[in-house]
Amino acid sequence: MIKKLFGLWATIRRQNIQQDIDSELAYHVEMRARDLEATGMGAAAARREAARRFGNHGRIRAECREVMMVDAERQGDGIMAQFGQDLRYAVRTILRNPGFAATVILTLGLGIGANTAIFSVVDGVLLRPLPYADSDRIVYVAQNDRLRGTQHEWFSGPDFFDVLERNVVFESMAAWRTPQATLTSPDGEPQRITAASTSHTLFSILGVGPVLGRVYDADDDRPGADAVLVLSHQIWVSRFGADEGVLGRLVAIEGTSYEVVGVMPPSFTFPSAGTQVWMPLQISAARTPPRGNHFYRVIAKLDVNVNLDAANGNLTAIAADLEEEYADDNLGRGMWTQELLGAMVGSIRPALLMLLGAVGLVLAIACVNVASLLFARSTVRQREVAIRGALGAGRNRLIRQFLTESVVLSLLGGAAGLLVALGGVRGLVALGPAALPRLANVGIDGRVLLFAMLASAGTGVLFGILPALQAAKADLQSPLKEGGRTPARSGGQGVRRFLVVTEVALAAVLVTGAGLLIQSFWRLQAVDPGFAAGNVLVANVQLPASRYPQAFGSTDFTQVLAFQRELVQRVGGLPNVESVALAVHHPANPGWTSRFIIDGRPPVAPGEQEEARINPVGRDYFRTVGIQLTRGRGFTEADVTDGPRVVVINETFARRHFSDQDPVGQRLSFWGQSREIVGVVADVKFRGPAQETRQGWYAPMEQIPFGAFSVLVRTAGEPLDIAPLVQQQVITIDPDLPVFGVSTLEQQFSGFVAQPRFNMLLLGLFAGVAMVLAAVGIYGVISYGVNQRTHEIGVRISLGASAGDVLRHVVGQGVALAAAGVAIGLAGSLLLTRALSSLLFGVGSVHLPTFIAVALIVSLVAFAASYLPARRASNVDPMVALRSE
Amino acid sequence: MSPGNPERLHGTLELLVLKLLEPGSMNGYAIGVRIQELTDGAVIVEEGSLYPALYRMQRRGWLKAEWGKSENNRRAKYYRLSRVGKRQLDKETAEWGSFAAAVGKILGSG
Repeated sequence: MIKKLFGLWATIRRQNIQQDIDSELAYHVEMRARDLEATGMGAAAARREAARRFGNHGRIRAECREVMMVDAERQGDGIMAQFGQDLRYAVRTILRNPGFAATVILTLGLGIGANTAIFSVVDGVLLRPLPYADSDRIVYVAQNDRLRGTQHEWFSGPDFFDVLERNVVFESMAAWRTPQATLTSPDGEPQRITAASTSHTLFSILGVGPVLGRVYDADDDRPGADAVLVLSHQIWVSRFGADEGVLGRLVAIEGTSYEVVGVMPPSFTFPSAGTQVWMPLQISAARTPPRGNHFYRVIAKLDVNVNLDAANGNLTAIAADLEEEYADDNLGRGMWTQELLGAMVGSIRPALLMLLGAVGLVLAIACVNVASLLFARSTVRQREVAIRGALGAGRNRLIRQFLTESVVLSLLGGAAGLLVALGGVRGLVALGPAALPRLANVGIDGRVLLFAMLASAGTGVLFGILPALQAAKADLQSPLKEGGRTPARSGGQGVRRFLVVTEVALAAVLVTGAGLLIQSFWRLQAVDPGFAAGNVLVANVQLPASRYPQAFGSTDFTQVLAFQRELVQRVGGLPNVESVALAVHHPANPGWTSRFIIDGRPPVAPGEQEEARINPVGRDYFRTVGIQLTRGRGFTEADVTDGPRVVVINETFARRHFSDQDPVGQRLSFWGQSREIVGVVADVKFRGPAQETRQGWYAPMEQIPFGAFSVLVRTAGEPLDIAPLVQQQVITIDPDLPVFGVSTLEQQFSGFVAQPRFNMLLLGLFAGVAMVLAAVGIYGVISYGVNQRTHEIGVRISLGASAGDVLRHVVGQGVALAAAGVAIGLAGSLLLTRALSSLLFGVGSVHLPTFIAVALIVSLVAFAASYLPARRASNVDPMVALRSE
Repeated sequence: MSPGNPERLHGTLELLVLKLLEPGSMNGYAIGVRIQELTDGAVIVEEGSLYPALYRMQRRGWLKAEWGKSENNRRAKYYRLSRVGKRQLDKETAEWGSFAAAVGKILGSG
């Protein structure tokens, strides 16, 4: 209300001042005309002459007004009053020039918005602590393997219990694994769920309790104890209708009955976001799979006052002891630990930090651009500054005034940026690779808002300070005396050139980075995966051991095989199906590895035994997924359960072990059985296009049956169209079986490049924005220069310069600026792109073709940006140009 | 304000206005006409450019302005010297004297 009254009063006052000025000036002109008439001039001629003598009426009027307005603001005193004046003045100045303001706000909005969006991801994923009590003491414990050079190995049960007993650094430890699980609760459809089997200590380590019932305890966790489980909040709501009576109910998972004892809060998602049930691991030092089987991941809570270094020292010593005691299994195995948060986000960190750096460069370019715009304007505003200075505004006051204006602009830019960020975050979450951890944490909240505000204010000071200093040191008198003509000051234009070179250099760095990532991505895409991914449907089925016996040592796989045979036959009869095959791992699934012996070769020392990937596959597997047979034969009807044991190896395996002989006819043994090698097939990039293919082999599924497998269907049309039919066949054979993970082989394989694609798209986007901003910067400087030099250009043309000469001259200036920027930018790239090296594939961080391409692209953009003003310059009419002075 | 200051010419207009108003109040038009007569148009080129100067001087507190009736019964704005303005006039007159003397010395000896 008070504000409104004040505003009203100010408006009235402004109008009064304006009226005063107008009537005084009008009085002067009238009096002059009357006096002229008195000398015998005609009335009309007298009026014209009076107006001519008066001079530029509009400018004088504005100048008077300016003097009075500035004065009107000098009534308050004290910093706050001054700040209020500065603010009002800033808003008025901005409103007076909406085109300029819109350009600045849009530019800053883009820069701040992109930064806010990326920061929200970095904050949610990397910075925010895990939502657990004492989360700084929770660590992830892993093994490494010196012999294989791997760093992230899981634990075996006996190793886990040995560390549990011997360590002096952990308050407690928990192991977990994530078994396959199908929920067939008393009612409803079979549902594929994500389960975690964990030590009971998991909950106390993470410091999270149930919202309903209890979590399982040491008694429940003993081998042989009654089966119990804890539900996630999500499945409690979706499957059990949030019924509190769920406690004590029995649910069936993989054919075993579990009693529900508790429900966890919605925020509890360990170990992964989709986890739906937790059940006790039920292993002990006496009852756990042997030391060679690395089934478990481990977290622990450090004792108070123990740091990571001490923990790592203790683990290293224990691992060394175990190596000695159990050389057969543990030779080369070390142990180490890191913060849980680091373990969860470690792989994504370089990419996110790279993106944060890149988007910071974009903001820097936006700042430079706006600074350049302000510079251009500060030359135009010299008169205003001079008047304010003449009226007694001190240098500091002028700087404050200019900074207020920049900060108001940047805060408006920040507001626009928030809109950009809201959209951006949504896009990032949608675009983000599925493997991006903690994505649910990402959003715009108080911290992100604070970041955006700080970024905006900082930006305002950053781009405002130079033009403010420049404006404030301006000569206060000459602009007033020169009757309003403001000549270009070469100093200001020089600074602007410098700014443009800077932003072109920054843009060149970004474009180089984007270029390298695009190259990498392109190379990744061009890698031959070794199979034909097009038109293949992938669907997964798991037969529960309770109804389909399949335990190790069992020889009775009748039910499993019967189901598989019937399924293949039924799916093979569906329309549009070209071929169908089962496999334990589809071609884009790394699967697991196993040790082996080549028959007839001398035994290798323990610890030097090699492993190879194993994949039991159905008969038509190679044909269905398009893997080339290079030697011998694939699997046939003859390779049945009680037929001769056979195996097909991949080319890497053949090269490594049979470089000087024909592998076909040789034998190799694993899992206690010797098999004849009957064929060799092409390598498949089953670990993704960026990874070396490892040695591996295939065995007939009929000879190594598995209850969990993929169904692969090559179709004549869109593979996903046939998915419901495949599902129907499964249910027809067994109504309690869910089909899960339905997708195409293409989708599966492209999952490997989701992260590189994400990096490339974002950096490409930033580079594009950077280029546009740089182009605007070049355009601005060249175009301003042409305006200032219209007279000079007129002289050149009248002295015989052709339009082409002028065009070349002006475009040359733009390109010269760009060339300087590119040179500096590429030099900077040499230093900065090294940070990219972990994200690159197939190109080094110093890649000449990319550098050349960047130079060409940036020069081309610079050419385009200077062409328009150059055209204008070449069309200057020399007569008009000369008269304009 | 020392001799040789680039503000001198600008200051000249202001000094003239102060001097003209010493005897009594005048309106803007009359001030302009008088200055042009006295200086042969050397100080004021555009007549209108007098007004920003008048406003500045008013805002510095040298001049007081009020609306009144002109000789032909029109509403016009009249300016007169304030006490601050009078002091300023004395100060500038003294400075001008020493400046003119300095320049005269140089030119006279050359």
